[in-house]
Amino acid sequence: MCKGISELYEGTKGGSGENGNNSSSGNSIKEKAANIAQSLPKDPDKLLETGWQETTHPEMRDKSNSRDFFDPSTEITVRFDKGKPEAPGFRGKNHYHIENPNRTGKRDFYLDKDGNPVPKGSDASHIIP
Amino acid sequence: MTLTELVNKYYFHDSTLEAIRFDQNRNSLVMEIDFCFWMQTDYVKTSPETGMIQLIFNGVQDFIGEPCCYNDLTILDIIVSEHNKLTFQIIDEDNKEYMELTVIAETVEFVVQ
Repeated sequence: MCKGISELYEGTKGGSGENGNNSSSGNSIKEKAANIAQSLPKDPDKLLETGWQETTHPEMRDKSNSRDFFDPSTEITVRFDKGKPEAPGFRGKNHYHIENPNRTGKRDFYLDKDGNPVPKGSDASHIIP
Repeated sequence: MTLTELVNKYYFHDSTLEAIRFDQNRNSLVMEIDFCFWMQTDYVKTSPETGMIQLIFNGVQDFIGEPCCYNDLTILDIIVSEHNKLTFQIIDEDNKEYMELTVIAETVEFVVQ
C-alpha cells in the first residue's frame, strides 16, 4: 500500500560533519588515509585481524553486498562494496571508500588513495585493493 | 523503457538519491539522482564524471518507503523483481541508516538534466 507520498519531498543540501581547517589534524588524516588505502585487503575480513571493527548496519549486512569497518586507532571508517561477479568494467570490481572524518558535505565526503578529499560518486573515491 | 531494461542498461551503484516527487495527477513518480556517468559502459572520458538525471516512473501502482526527506542518500544497488517492481537499496552514510525504497510502475524514463 502507498504510504502517502503525495507531496514534494525535497531535502536541503547542507554539510555534515566538522570543518577540517586544522592543518595539523588535516595532514594527519591525509597521511593516515593514504596508509590505509595502500594496505586495504582484497578480503575485507582481513581488516578484523588488524584491529578494525565491523560496524555494518544489520539490515545492510543481510540484504546488500556492502560492509562498513571502523579503525579505533585512526578513527577512520571505510566501506567495502563487493563487485558483481562476471559484470563488465567497474561493475565487477570490489572496492573501498574511505570516509573523510573532516567532511563538510557531499563534495568532500570521501578521501582518495592519497588522502585527499573527493566528492561522493567520483572515480577517485573508489579504491580498488 | 521497462524497469528491467533500466537495470540492464544503467549501473546505479554509488549514485546518490537527492529528491523524490510524486505527481498524483499524472500518476508518476520522479527521482532526482546525482548519477555516476563514469561507471557506465559507454562513458567517454572527456565527459563529466557525474551529473543530475531524473528517473520518471509512469503508471505508478505503488511506492513503498519511509516518508522522510530523501537527500544525498547513496544508492548501493537497485533490484528488479516481477517485471514492474524496482527496489532501491540506499544508505544514509551520515546517520549509518540502511533503507529500501520500492516502486511498482509500468515504465520508466531516464532523463539527463
